[in-house]
Amino acid sequence: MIQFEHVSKRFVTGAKAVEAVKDVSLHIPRGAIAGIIGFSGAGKSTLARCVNLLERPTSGRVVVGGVDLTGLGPAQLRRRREKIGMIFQQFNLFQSRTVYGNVAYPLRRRGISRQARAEKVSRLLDLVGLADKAGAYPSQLSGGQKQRVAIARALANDPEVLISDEATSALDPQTTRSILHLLQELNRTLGITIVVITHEMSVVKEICDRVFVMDGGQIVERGPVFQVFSFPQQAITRGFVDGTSALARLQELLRDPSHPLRLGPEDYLIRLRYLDHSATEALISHVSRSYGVDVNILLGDIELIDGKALGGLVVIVRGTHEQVSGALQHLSQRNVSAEVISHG
Amino acid sequence: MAEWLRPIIPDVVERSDQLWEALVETLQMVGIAGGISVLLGIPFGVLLFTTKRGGILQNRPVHFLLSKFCDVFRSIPYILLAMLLLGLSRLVVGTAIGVKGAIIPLLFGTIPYLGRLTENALAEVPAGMVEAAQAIGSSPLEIIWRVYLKEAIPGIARGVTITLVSLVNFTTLAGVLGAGGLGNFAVMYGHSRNMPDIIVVSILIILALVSLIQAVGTLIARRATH
Ligand SMILES: Nc1ncnc2c1ncn2[C@@H]1O[C@H](COP(=O)(O)OP(=O)(O)OP(=O)(O)O)[C@@H](O)[C@H]1O
Ligand SMILES: [Mg+2]
Repeated sequence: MIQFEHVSKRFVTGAKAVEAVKDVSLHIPRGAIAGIIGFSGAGKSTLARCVNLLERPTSGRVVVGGVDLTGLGPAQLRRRREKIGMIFQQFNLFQSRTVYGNVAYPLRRRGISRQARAEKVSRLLDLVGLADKAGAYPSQLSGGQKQRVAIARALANDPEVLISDEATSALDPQTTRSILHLLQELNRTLGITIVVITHEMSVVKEICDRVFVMDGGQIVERGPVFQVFSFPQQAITRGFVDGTSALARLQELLRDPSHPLRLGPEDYLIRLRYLDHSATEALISHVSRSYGVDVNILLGDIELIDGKALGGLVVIVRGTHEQVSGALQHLSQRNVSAEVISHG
Repeated sequence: MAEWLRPIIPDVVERSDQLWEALVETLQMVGIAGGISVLLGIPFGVLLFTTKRGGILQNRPVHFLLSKFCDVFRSIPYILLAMLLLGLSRLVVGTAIGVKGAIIPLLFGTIPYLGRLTENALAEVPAGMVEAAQAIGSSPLEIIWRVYLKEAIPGIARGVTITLVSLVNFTTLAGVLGAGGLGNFAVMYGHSRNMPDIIVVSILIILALVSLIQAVGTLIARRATH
């Protein structure tokens, strides 16, 4: 659906040049929910704005829905943009128009009757759950409601693609979830391909099926969310994963020499990562019984991503070297990777 | 005019016909020049704003010319500008005096002014809104009409108000140069023949006119703010 071929974008301001996007090639298939994650200044917004050519790449090709946008004239490009909806962190609603007026805005140009327009707007407002707010002005709405209006407006032209640039970054966690679930529902019911730009790992985990990690204008890591976050290859990706997990806090504790967590001669501090299974408890007690080791669970941090368990446990396993390595071998056969952090 | 006013403002009552005529001339000048100023000044401001660097109709040479035009005409004191332009007026409308002769010099005072004020009003429209409209697929003309002008109504209304108030001011100066109106009336009788009541009454009428313009402008601006 969306294809970038060697896309670069350079900004020149005075004597300084910033390469905001560097030679990015990517493909997002129809119906996907793709996340683009990175720290501030990584080039995420610039990349997103290249999808509808709000930002024209310095070089490279942008193909959306089989059409090379970079080769289109202004009028043709505008027609294509109608099929690429976009929502923003600051909502960007028209302040002088009511909710109805905002959602109707994209429909004015097309030769449809006032009646058909009214029906379409009310259908869209129903979809985002704001049927009762048609007459309100944006200044009278909460942040979550504003973003719902923006979503309805972005859907008015029946887009094939929806780009969300930090659309939930100004919202509280609960509202964020409700907006993300709305996006997910739109993806399921309307088949819209969604690109979610964010700097929050939790957003990607919540709804994305694939993720692109951006750093310094480049995509440094990519793949299914589950895979990227369970086997992070790059330091920056590990940063995103650890930054949100309790395991990171435990590691801090362990680095603290004054902490009373002392390991005895037969104690192994082990970190288990679940890559697949969710039957965690049974597996632990099974290992404990079969290999004669004591397992003390210090910390559990398991999340469901994409319907799979991701995360792990930090445990102290007490036993002889043979017992422990047997247990670990068994675990690895069950798709649980084990890493010995230290032993006494 | 009412006889009971005669002891208070004798000269005004004596010349009530001329006063009425002067008022009509002032209203004509403000009405005609004001109308044309709005029709030309707002598009002028739109061009000034949109041809700027980074604007949706970015065009360096056009912007440079419009901008210089503005600065030149805005920096010349109005009375001198009006004198300078009387020749042009004679050429275009065939006369340099009366209401008809005053219109062109008045326009050169107001259009660059309203142009700058409109430019400022449009600059207040958040860039994000324009970006949203572009993402929706709006053309530059559509963005001007349906985003910039619509969102900037309060600012433009304030700009038009300020322009009309200075237009009233300009008409009195034009009056001195032979355009008639209340300015001329006040100078001819009040100043030259030392009739202070005429000056006071002229001022009061102009004050009322300005207040009316202000009130209407403020009302429109408030109505359009959401
Ligand atoms: N119009 C512009 N002119 C000049 N430089 C720009 C422009 N837009 C972006 N940049 C630069 O490009 C780089 C990437 O910016 P971008 O906004 O894409 O980052 P981002 O990943 O979206 O960051 P954030 O999370 O803060 O939104 C930054 O160094 C920024 O300063
Ligand atoms: Mg950004």
